[in-house]
Amino acid sequence: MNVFIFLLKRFGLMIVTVWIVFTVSFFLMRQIPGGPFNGERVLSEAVRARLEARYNLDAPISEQYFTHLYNTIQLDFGPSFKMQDFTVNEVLAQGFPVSAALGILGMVFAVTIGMTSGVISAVHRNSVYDYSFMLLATLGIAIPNFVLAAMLIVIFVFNLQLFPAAGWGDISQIILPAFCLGAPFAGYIARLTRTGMLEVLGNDYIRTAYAKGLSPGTVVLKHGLRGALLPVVSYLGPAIAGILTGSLVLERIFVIPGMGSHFIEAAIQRDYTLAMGALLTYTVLLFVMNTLVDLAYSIIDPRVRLE
Amino acid sequence: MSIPDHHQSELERLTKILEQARGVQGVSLWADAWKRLKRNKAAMFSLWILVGIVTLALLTPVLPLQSPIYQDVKNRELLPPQGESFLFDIQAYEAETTLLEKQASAVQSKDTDEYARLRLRIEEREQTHPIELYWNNPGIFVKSMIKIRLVIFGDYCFPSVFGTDKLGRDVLSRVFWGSRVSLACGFIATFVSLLIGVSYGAISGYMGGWVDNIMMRIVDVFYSIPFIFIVIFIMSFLSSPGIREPLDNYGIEQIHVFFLLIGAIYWLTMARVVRGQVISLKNEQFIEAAKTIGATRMQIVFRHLVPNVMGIVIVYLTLTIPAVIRFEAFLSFLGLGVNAPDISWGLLVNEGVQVITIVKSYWWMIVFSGMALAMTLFALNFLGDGVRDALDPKLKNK
Repeated sequence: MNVFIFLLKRFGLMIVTVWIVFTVSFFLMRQIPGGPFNGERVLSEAVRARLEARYNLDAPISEQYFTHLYNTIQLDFGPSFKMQDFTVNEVLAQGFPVSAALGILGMVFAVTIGMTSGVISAVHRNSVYDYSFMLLATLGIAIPNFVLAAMLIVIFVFNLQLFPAAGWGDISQIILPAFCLGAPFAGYIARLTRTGMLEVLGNDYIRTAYAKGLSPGTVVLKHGLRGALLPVVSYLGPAIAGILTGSLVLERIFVIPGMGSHFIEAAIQRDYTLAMGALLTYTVLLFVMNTLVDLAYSIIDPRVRLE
Repeated sequence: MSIPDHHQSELERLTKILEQARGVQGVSLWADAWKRLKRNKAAMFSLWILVGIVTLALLTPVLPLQSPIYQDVKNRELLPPQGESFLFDIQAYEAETTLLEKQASAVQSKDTDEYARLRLRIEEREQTHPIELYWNNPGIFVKSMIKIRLVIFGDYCFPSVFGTDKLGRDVLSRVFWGSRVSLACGFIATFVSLLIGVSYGAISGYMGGWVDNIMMRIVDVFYSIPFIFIVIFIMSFLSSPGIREPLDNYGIEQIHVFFLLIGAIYWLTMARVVRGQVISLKNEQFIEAAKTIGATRMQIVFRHLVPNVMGIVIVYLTLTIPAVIRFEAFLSFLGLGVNAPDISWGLLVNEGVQVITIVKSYWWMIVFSGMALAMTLFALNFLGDGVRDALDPKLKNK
C-alpha cells in the first residue's frame, strides 16, 4: 500500500513537471520571430503543408496550445521540421534502443569497474592498489568524458588501431564509447564503495563473521559489501541522469545514431518539434529511473521509508 | 584593612590565569581551517596550480603569444608542435605610420591640402591597425594590455610549441585565450548561483511556515526537471537569427546570457543546504538579540544569518565551480555554448575532434586543450576535497 501511494505521488509530480516543461518549450517555440512557425522560407513546401494541417496555424494561440497538448498526451509529437519523411515519434523510436544499449553497457562498466576497485581499495587500505585506484578514480571524475573519448580515439583507434573510429552495429564499436560513458561514474562509485566498505568493515558483526571462521572472501563479499551498497545505490539516480547527458556528447563523437545525437542535431538545426519530443522523453525517462532507484533503495534497506 | 589571606591567594590565582589567557591567541574558524588546509599537501599543490592558471589567464594579453585568431591556411595549416619563433609585422606598420606623421607635421604649415590628405591616411591606418586584425575586438582594458605587450616584447612571438590548427592559428595562444572564457564562466556562473541560492535558501528558511513550504516545493519541482536538456533547448533558440539580432542590438551577447543561464540552474542544492542551516540557526540567542535592538527581517537574514552559513556555502562553491566549468565545456563542445570568434577550452577540444581523420591524427589539437581543461578540473576537485575536510566540523581538533 505504501508503495502504491509512493508511486501515485511520484506520478503526480511527474505530470506536473512534464506539463511545465511542455508549456515552457511550447511558448518558447512560438516566440521566435522568423522561426519555423512564421518564417515560410525555411521550410520546404511539403513540410509546411503538413505543419499547417497538423498545427492549425491560423487558430488563436490558446487553441493551438490545447490541440498540441492533446496530441502530446496521446504520445504524438508531430512531424519533424527538418526531416521531411519522418515524424518525431519515428525518429525517437529509432534512436531509443541504440541509446538504451549504450547507456546500459556504460552503466554496467561503471558499476563493475567502480565496485571492484572500491572493494580492493578498502580491503588493501593505504596500499599501492588503494592509492593508484583512488588517483585513477579522481582522474576519471575530473576529466570530462569528451576529452577522455578524444584522447582514447587518438591512442586506441589511430596509434594502436584496436577499435574502429566510429559507427554503430558491431560489438567492437560499442566498447570505447561505453567505456568513456561509464568512466566518470566508475570513479564516483569506486570512491563511494571504498568509503562505505571502510565504515562497514570496522563493525562488530564483521569481527564476528571472522571469528566464526568464515574465509576473508566470504566476509568481504557477503557481509561487507551488502552494507557498503547503500551509498552506491543512492548514487545511481544522479548517475543515470549523468549517463543520459553523457550519451549526448559521446553519440556525437562516435557518430552513433541514438536519441542523444538526434536531440543535439535537432537543437543545432533548430528542429523544434524533434527537440521538444526528445526533451519530454528525457524528462519522463529521468523520472521513471529515479523512481526505480528509490524503490530499489527501500528494498535493500527496509529502514528507509518511501516518501 | 588588609585583604584576608585566602582572598589574596584567589586574587593571585586569577591574575595568573588572566596572564596566561593573554598569551593565548584566539583561533577563528577561518584561521583554523586554513591551518588544516595547509597541512593537506595535495590540496595546497592544487591551490598553487590554480593560482598559476588564473594568473596566466589574467596576464594573457601581456604575454608574448601569437595571435589567437589570425588565419594563415596556406603556410601554417595543421603544423605539428615546433620551436620556430614567429614575428608580428606590427612594428613595421607603426614605423610607417610614424613616418607619415613626420611628413604631415613637416607640411602642416605649408600645404594644407597635402596635410589633410596625410591626416586622413593616418586615421585610416589607425582603423586597420594590426591589433584589430590579430585580436578579436579587444575591450579598452585588454587593448592597453596588448599595447604594453607590444612595448615590452615588440614583434617577438613565442613559437607554436602546441602546433597550429586547420586554419593556421596558433594552438598555444588559443589555449591561453580560451582559459579566460572558461574560467570567467566558472566564476560568473558560480557567483550567480551563489546569489540566487543563498538568498532563496536563507529567506525560505527564515520565513518558515507556508512561505517556506511553497518555496521548497518549487525547488522540488525544479529538481526533477532535466535542466541540461532545457538549456540545450534554450541555447538553440538563442542562436536563431530572429532572437539573436534584437539581443545584439541591446548589447547583450549570447555568451553573457549563457553564463547567466548556467548560474541560474546550479543554485538548487545551495538553496536547500542554506535553508537547513538557517533553520537550525534562527532560534539562537544572537538572532533574539538582533530582534530586540529592532533589526528588520531583511537585516536579520542578510547581516546575521547569511555570514554564519558561509562555511557550508564555501564547501558547496568548491563543488559548483568545477561543475560549471565542465558544463560550459560540454555545451561549447556540442556547438551550443561559446561560439567563434570567442574561444573556450570546450570549443578547442571540439575543433580537435573535428579534424580527426583516418589518415592522420592531429593529436596536438586535442591533447593540449584537453589537458588544460582536465588539469584545471583535477586541481579544483582536489582543492574542493581539501576545503571540505578543512571546514568540516566533525574533523575539527583531530
